Amino acid sequence: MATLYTPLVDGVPGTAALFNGVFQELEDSFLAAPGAFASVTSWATLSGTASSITISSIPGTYKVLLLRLLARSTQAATTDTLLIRPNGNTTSANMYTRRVLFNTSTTLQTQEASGSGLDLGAILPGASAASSHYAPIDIYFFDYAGSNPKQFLYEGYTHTADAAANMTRHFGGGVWKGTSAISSIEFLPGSGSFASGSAYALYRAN
Amino acid sequence: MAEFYTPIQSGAGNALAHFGQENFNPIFEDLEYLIYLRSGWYKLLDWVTLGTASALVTITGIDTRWRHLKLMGLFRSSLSATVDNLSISFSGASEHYYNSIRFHNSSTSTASGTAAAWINHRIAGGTAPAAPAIVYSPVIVDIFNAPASTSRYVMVRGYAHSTDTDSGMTAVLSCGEYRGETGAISSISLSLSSASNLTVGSMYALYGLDK
Repeated sequence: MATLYTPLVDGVPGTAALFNGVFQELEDSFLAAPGAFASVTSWATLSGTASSITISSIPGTYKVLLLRLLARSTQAATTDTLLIRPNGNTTSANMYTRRVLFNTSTTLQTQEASGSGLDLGAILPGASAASSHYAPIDIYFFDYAGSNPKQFLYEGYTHTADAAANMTRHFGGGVWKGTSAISSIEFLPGSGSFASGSAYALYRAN
Repeated sequence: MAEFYTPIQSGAGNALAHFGQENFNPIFEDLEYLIYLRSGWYKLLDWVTLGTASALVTITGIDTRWRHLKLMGLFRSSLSATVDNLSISFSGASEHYYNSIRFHNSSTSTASGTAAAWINHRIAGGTAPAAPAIVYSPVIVDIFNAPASTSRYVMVRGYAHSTDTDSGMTAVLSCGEYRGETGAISSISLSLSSASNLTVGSMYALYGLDK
């Protein structure tokens, strides 16, 4: 039994308006009830460098945002940090991040961070890292449009040279103390710029 | 107002105002694309539960339209041990094309990362708890940029319950890369590093996120 559209009825002449009405009902239904983490922005790949990227005009009608990156920095080092600025906020006193890292040569590390943004630490491969390595990173923002401080979780890994011994897994989270809805997200390397080939998209869940 | 399809125009159709397949099929195609694009994680393979123990599970026919893939599952090995390692590989590629590390942490020990050739992830073995119910290990595998001709990146998380105590629970995080081959990922294979079998009752499903 149809619940998302009005079925056609025998004996009613088929007109463009009639058919279009059904199509519009279906389109409206798809847009109103997507699955988890439908896209807010399409997957975009940088054709050149970018000092920062901002996704703006984020609707406040969802519950969770997922920012997914494959990113690399132009910084002349093996790694660079990644900063996330909700609504362009740069006040470090308003942000806390804690993370755990592991690789084959160093036992479990836990770190606290404070930077001019939510500080994800040295998660980006830099210009001195093995070529063509980009860091996969997922950052979740929970209840981003609510009036409470905004909690986030992230994970990713860094690969600085072409061997398993040079891989570092990252996992962490934190809070931005702002009580306004997140309507824009700026993200940038701590020292360099995003390298060409870096890519990103924003997804959401209701 | 139509956003993802082109409405039928007034006056369309033949002289008798009859509409044909050419009026409807483009719209159906546009709406079908909308389902893929706006469905979020689209279910590519419905949950499969093993009715027979299996040394190798392969998911084939993965379309290149999906930018990212997510494999979820509950797994257990038949190995006579508390834990085993789930090996994840792509498009039939051999060990040469992978770098990966694995971290596992329990209340009694913290292990440093372990380098492995395949993308490996710790799961419950054959002597893991089985009463009052059989324990399986939940695993979520995220595959970034599956159709790319460059490196494909994988992150895995889950836990292994090796003995029936809190201290017998181990959180596991793994990651790795599939590289060296430029073709898009067309299949995903799951096996065990011990060459044992995935047990009856192990289950998995695959989802895709559109470009």
